[in-house]
Amino acid sequence: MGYNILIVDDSKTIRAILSKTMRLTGISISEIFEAGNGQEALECLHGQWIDLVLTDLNMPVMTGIELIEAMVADDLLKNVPVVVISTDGSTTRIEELKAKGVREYIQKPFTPEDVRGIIETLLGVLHE
Amino acid sequence: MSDQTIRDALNEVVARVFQQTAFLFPEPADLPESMPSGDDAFIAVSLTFSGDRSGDICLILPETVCRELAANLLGEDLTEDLIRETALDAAKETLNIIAGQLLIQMYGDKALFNLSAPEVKETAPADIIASAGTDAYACSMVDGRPVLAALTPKTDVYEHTSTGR
Repeated sequence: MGYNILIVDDSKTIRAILSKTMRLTGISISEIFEAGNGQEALECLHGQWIDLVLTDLNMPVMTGIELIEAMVADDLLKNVPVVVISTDGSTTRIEELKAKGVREYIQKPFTPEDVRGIIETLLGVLHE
Repeated sequence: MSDQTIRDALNEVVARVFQQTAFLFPEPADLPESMPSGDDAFIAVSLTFSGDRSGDICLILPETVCRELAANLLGEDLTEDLIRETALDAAKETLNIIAGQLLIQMYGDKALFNLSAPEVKETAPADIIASAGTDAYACSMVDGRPVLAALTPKTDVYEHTSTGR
């Protein structure tokens, strides 16, 4: 049985790249869901079982930080692992996000190897 | 911070981001005296940043370059099927990445910024340059096509304080 992954980014291009990257990692994936902002992500999280959230920060309607805060405040969602994928490279920002419970941070532009390494570690998938 | 310092940082970051994301290799160039007029429409993508410093960052590029960015980002062949929305989306994402790297390079990795969503408009580059001034822009050539980038800081309180002005 594979993982359900939620990709949250206002850029359709980035969602497509991440979706393709996830399918190339070799990680067993059941389904990939997409959301264009934090609000859409929350609706998806309340309607589907999601194993991992990959989210951008700067998005209209609801930002990635607002999404993370909403998840932390929700008993059903607070343990869903979140990986932030953003252009923001500020170490202050990264520390702030880790303090909010974000597991990992990937700075754009990323390579498939960057994503694979972090996701595999996070999901406890062993290299063969 | 001088215009030349900003232009040098822009040239370096634009070249790095185009190379990293889309295997395109911009070469720094002087701003052309007259912009090419042909069939290639130009797109201006801009965003504002706020936080420890504030200002605007703008990227002006031919639509054909946007299409190449999109195709290379997605790992797809450049065909007529690539829709314009995808090309513009790629330009916006490229500006986001440029902004992230540029702000760190110029202001350090401790600084915190919030970026607005990039906005796109079709433009005549000469009009934008006329309003902003030629000194504000860094120019690179991508396969003979000009790509312009600008960072316009708003009042720089920290620099004024440190220099006693």
